[in-house]
Amino acid sequence: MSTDHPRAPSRPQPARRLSRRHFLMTTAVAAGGAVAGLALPVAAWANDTIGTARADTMLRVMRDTFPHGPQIVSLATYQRLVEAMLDEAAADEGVKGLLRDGVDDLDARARAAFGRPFTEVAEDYEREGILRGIETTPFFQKFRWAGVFGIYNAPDLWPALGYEGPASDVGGFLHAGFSDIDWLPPGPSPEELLAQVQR
Amino acid sequence: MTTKFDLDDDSLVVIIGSGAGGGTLANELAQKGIKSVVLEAGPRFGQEDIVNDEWTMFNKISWLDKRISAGEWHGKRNHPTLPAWIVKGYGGSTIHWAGVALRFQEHEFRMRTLNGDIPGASVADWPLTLAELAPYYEAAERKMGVTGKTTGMPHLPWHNSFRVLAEGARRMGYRDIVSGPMAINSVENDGRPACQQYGFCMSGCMVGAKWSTMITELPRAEATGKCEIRCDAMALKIEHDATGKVTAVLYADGAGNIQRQKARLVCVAGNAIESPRLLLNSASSMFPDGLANSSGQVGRNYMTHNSAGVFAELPEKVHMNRGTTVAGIISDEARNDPSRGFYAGYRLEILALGLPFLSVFLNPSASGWGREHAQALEKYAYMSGTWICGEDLPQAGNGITLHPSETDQHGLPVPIVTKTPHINEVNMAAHAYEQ
Ligand SMILES: Cc1cc2nc3c(=O)[nH]c(=O)nc-3n(C[C@H](O)[C@H](O)[C@H](O)COP(=O)(O)OP(=O)(O)OC[C@H]3O[C@@H](n4cnc5c(N)ncnc54)[C@H](O)[C@@H]3O)c2cc1C
Ligand code: SF4
Repeated sequence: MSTDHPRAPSRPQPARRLSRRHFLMTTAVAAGGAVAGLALPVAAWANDTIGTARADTMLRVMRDTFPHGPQIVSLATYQRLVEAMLDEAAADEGVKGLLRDGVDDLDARARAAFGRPFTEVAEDYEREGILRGIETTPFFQKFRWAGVFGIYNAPDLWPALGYEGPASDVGGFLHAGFSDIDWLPPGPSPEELLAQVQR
Repeated sequence: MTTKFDLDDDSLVVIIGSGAGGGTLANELAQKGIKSVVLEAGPRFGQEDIVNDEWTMFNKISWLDKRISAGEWHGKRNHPTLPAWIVKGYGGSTIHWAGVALRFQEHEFRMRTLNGDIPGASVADWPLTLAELAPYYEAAERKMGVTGKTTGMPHLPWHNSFRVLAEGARRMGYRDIVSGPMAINSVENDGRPACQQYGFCMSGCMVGAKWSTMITELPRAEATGKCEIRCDAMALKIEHDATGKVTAVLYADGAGNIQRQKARLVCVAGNAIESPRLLLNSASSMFPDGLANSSGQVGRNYMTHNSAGVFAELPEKVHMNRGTTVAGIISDEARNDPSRGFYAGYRLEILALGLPFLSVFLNPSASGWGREHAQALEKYAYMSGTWICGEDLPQAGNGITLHPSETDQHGLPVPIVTKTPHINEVNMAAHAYEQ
């Protein structure tokens, strides 16, 4: 049941285990517009669970699933999400098989359509097209839910995405601009609201 | 507070479920001195368990035991094992309900008379009128603290996203634009504070401005000493004697052990999925089709809403996260007017989700990803949400059945929830999207 809601994991801890998997990429590369879609792969890492090439493909898939510019979601964030899946694969043969076979299937589809592996398909829309073809598979949905929880549920990314999070520290938005827009008429005044409920 | 009744006490009313129905009944009985025990499948929750965090609360309070979605509706594809988002625990779905507290409209009691036979639907008139029910509505509105004429409590102040929706509606010529009735305090009332516009109503209200049996009816019932709320107690089967009268309820306790609570009366209030499931699971040689099912109607005509969320990007910032999730209702289309191409009506309501939920609900299908999706989410601050909430028609084939082989952790057949939209709903949705 590929698209079912998995349980949200507890919030990801910032940058664990970076040293163990040794990123060769520098942050300068990450900031250099690599997310725009050319010049793939951008990161290289040693991964012996399913092989480094497959890990690179996973990173490309992760970024294509929820593509944002580096000022909004850094490459390191996408890498962390892939890392978490690889950790899972290292501990669980089922996940390992799912990822390995999923990547191989993706490459086979890319080769059939464009004559090259997935990461070498240059255009964003071409890669998105290939992924649309597998979007209901458990393999792909793993990336979708990883992004839902790892990007949109990550408080450190909220400011760049325009979401303020809760206002529990100030006692609610009643005290923090719940009705502050000035480009539309205001709502009814307290007197008008009271008048509405008189018998 | 800590009244405990004996398993063999057969003078008790046993209530199954502590939500809107069960929690309210428990308190009404307790205030009259009638002893009851409430069996609640989920854990005990209190104010301190509520945090402003959409997924954390979803995981904490939802009924996530296995269920199966079936029929020709989006849920079968989008959430095949989660046909409905219901709470499991002390307070039931009143913990995360949005608080909209509408009454039936006059015409809704006479849909059969007004519209005649609607093919494919099992529409009937109610044997009651609005006038007969009015005193009960008033009593409920007073107890729950509903903004409006009954309590004199003003409707909630308009927040940004309702101002956006209201302006759009005004330009369409709509006039019935109100920020109530809501079972959310706009002023201090009943020992509970006014809404502070936290905006996480569907994760549970942190301050208790929104009515929920978790903070009102259940603790008040317990305080009388006449009511025991037994949590982590999943009712499995209702038993009866040779005359067909109920005698006891079998349930699984927190450790998974089966217990038998004797009963004078049993009230089933486990919501639209679990109540019929329990009745069907209670089949016996005397009642082979399940308890209370001589009509064959148990588990049939399951209705939800004709429901769709629409999110628009505005030219300026809205910050829809700031404020009450659903406080804003436009009712111009709520009438029954078949000249629009469908029976019954719908309302437009605010639907203000946070980014964590929106990243899924913007497009809850498997296709909710990709460049367009990501770009829309980057515009979160500019977005405003509207929920199209219409009436769906009862259909005999929509309902709750038991899976022939799959069972849950208690060994009970898993419920299959079947729902196929009536053509009326398709036409209504088309009209609403058009608007
Ligand atoms: C997100 C959301 C928003 C909503 N907003 C609104 C709104 O704004 N306005 C409105 O009018 N309605 C709203 N509703 C609907 C409303 O919440 C429900 O109709 C109402 O809570 C149903 O009451 P109930 O007592 O039947 O069931 P519930 O409130 O769901 O309570 C049932 C309880 O029974 C327990 N239970 C079930 N089976 C068993 C068993 N076998 N043994 C023991 N315990 C069991 C469950 O754990 C649960 O606690 C909303 C619903 C949702 C999901
Ligand atoms: S917006 Fe109001 S009702 Fe909703 S959670 Fe906040 S305080 Fe409670």
